[in-house]
Amino acid sequence: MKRIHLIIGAMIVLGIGLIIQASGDMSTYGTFQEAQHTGKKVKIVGTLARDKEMKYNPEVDANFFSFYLTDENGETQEVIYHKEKPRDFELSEKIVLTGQMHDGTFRATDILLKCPSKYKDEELKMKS
Amino acid sequence: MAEVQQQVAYLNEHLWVGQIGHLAMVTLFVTAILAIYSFFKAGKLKNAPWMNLGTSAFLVHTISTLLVIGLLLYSMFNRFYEYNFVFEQVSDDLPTTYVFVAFWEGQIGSFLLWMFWNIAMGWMIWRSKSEWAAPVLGFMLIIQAFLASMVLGIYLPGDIPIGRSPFTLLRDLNDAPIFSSADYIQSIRKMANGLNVLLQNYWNVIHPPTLFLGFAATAVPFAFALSGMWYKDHKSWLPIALPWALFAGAVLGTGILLGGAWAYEALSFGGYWAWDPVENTSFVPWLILVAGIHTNLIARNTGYSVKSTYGFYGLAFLLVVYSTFLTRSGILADTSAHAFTEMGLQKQLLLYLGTLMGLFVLLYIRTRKSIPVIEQEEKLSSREFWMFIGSLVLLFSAILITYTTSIPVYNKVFEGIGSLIGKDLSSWHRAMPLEPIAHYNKFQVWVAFFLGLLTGLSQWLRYRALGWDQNKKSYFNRLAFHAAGALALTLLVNLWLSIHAWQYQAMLFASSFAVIANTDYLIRQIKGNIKLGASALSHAGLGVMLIGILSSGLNQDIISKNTNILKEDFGSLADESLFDNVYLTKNIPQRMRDYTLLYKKDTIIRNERFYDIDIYKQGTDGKMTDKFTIHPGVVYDDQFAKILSVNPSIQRYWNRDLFTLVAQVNAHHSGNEALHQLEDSLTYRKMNTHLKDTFETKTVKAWIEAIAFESSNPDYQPEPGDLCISPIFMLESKSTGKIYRSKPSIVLRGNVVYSLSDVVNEVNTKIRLSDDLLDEYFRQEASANYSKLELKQGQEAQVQGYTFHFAGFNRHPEHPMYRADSSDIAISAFLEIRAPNGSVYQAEPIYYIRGNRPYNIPVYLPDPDLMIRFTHVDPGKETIELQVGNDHINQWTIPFEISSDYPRDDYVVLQAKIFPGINLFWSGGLLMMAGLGLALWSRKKQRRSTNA
Repeated sequence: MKRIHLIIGAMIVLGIGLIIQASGDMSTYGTFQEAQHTGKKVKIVGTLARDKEMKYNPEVDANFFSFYLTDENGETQEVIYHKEKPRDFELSEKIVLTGQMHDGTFRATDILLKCPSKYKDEELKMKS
Repeated sequence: MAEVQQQVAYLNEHLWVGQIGHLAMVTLFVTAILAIYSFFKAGKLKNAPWMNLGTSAFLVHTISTLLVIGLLLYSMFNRFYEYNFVFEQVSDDLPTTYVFVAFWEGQIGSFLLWMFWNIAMGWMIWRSKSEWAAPVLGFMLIIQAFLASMVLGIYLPGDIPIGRSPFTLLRDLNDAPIFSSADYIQSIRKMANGLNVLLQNYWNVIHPPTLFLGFAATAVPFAFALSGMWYKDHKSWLPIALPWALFAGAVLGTGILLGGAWAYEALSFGGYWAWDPVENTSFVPWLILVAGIHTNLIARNTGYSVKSTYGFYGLAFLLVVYSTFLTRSGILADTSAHAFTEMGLQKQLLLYLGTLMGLFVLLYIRTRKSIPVIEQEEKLSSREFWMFIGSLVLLFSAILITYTTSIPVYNKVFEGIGSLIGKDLSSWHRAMPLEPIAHYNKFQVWVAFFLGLLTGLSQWLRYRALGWDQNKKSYFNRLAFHAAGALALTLLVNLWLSIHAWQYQAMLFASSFAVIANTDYLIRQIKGNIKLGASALSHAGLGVMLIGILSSGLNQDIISKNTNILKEDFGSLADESLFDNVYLTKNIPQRMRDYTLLYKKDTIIRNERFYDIDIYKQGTDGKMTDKFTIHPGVVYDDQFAKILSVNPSIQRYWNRDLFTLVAQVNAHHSGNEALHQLEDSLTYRKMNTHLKDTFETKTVKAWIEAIAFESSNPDYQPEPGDLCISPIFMLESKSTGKIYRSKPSIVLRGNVVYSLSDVVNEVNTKIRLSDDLLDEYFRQEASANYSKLELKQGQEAQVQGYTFHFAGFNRHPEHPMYRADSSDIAISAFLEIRAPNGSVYQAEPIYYIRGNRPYNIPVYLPDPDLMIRFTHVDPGKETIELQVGNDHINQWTIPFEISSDYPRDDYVVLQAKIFPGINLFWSGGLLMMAGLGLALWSRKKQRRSTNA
């Protein structure tokens, strides 16, 4: 057994360990129910509940934005995001939230918007 | 539809471009295949005729490719909108400079750019006339043929499309009634997409070409490795491929750095690196390429690590192709902020990746046994041993980054398996880590740690441990010296930065060690012979860059963060990157830690709105230590319909950057779409009141205090003959009790009525006057009962019980309603008016002649209710003529509309952070690239001198 082989072997073992650890960081998409149940941080995919009120009044608090999101189970829940209202928020097709329940509302720490792409938009316009 | 279209004889189309283009496209593809065959024949038979045939085919391929690119650019410059490619990339108003950017911005154009660079690399290889040229060109052209197939645009039997042709006509791609018009091009001109204004900047001029040159250059060592295995010559290609790998490393690295600079300066990502999948997938090939450069050096100098060199050069380019697959197949759409949209090339891209991988693996399996392996072990005290460990660390880094970045791929695979076995495997699907940046950093901090140590350790060792026994002592002495130096530097940096995690302290020590050990090498060992300093220079650069990452990344300070957030109210939320906006009201200073911000004004330049914000910095003693103005902004589309992006403003210092970003603008600055929505949503209450009558709205108690006959609205430019009526409203805030003044106006100019509304942001009130106010004015004026009087200077006269004294002239009268013109004859009269009750008033009505027409600007005295007009001057009698009347303004019914839900239009929401030591990051990165460049240059020199 050569020294280098030992080192490579050790690195492979370490690598597998690290990959297992990295896998532990991977998340899954959850629901409000799970967030409520576990109290842990989760990712939730959903759509904006357009019939409910959306609040962002920077004059009062530039770090308070609230809206309602309907998750994949169809549950609608108020979401508070202590940051500005993201641009083109209303245009989103889908919203991916990261966050957790706190004091009865879902507190988002990150919001990712899926907007219809410019290309698709143009195509629709042309075909109609 | 197709049949219908054929009956229309379209006007103004340039079909010849598409015909030649398509022909050229097919030619370039066929010649690439021919060249591949010929070059491999030439390589195998070592025979000149095949080489010549290959060269000719490659030449025709080159000409055809240039023709395709030329035709496309020509169509773009001339706006041939009948072509989908042109329609999608340019528009009439696109500045000429950005036509090139528009060319490579899309998927098709970027493939062509890549092909262009491949050709350039190909001819440089050809020029070397080495015996390696034939197979290397053969393999390069295989890559080229795959790239060409992406833009080929032909159909195999069964309607299977191969690539997307840039010469597709818009009308063949879309079914729309507009195409039944022969002159449809005229009507679609205005609809052309044009280049997104976000991409219209100089970064986009330099970043993509650099990156794609890097990709093309990375293919060269890959092609050499394949050729080496094909020839079963595992030695002689190594020194030839090395300069190519160095070149690729320098260019690709520069490309990545440029991408970071672009993201930092012009985009709203708030930093230069965010571990975004698209960033990661261009970074990983670079890491592997650099590992390959190191094993190549080992192999050339000692004969060890030949297999690894094959592996790394192979993997580097395969990862480039994998990156192409990820960013262009649409697979990353859910996880990345800036991947391409899907174009239907998924299968073709997979075939590309699979073929190259298969080729590499097959060749490797076939020749594995013939690759020389040195039986004797590398010595622990040799440079090659530690260099090899370093390469493994780079591989580690690459594996870990790729593992997480590939999550969407695993999901796709599960999806595929699921549909194959007929089960729903969506419970296997995984999402990106909840804290992606922390996730990557957690692992990469150790990569940085080991790399830092290894560069310092191995730099002072020698290949094959030459002379180790004599040098052992001095080596360890030096090592101790460097470690002490690194410790000192670590402590020094700790005075400046606050680093809490021990992992980052370890990284800081290793980075400092890299800086000290390599700088010492530069100073002591090479003694001014800069050619020998390439590696030490790169590695010192790496150390500096790593310290820069620690300072600017880890010690980023969000100074706009609301620090009053209570832990007990928000729990762990208080520690997240939330609460980092500050609200700025126009002209009201706002404190933010030891800074004071003052939002002064905003200016529109082209399609951007810039906010001028003064920043004052106070020292600990409260004295002002620094003052500057920042100009962060927002970017609109060309129609100002909406905001596309924000434009950060960076105040640079040698040791830090202050980075500011507009997080939110007020509704009135959000583009015309929002503005129209806003106007529609405001509710106005119609009212009629008399002077001094109080009324109430949701937010205020109010009354009209007086009426003025001028306006101070900055948007209003008075013209002769204007009638301007401005009631002065007093608004008392219900919440604060403060009283605000509002002065809306209505202006009659000729036959046109202008209503100048007025806004009081503090009470969310907007008031606009109704046209009926003019009717009221004329009704009252008709019954005003004017009396005329003529006066000489110094004279007095009585009207309606008031005594008028004409005290004198003013030949330079001033008044808000009067803008002096050099041709004017203008005077005002100083009048003193005594009322019956003894009160004395003063008035200065104006009379002027402009272009032979007389005008006057009256004075209204509210208290005695007198309207005084200066209507004539008689030079002969030396008299002036005045008209005096009562307008009974206190009896007027004043009609107006008031809204009390008007959103403020005088604020901006700002984010500000400090990046300490960010220049260490940039300069370290540049030093690293300079080191690679230097290595390339000194190898060339060396080779030239050995050849001579």
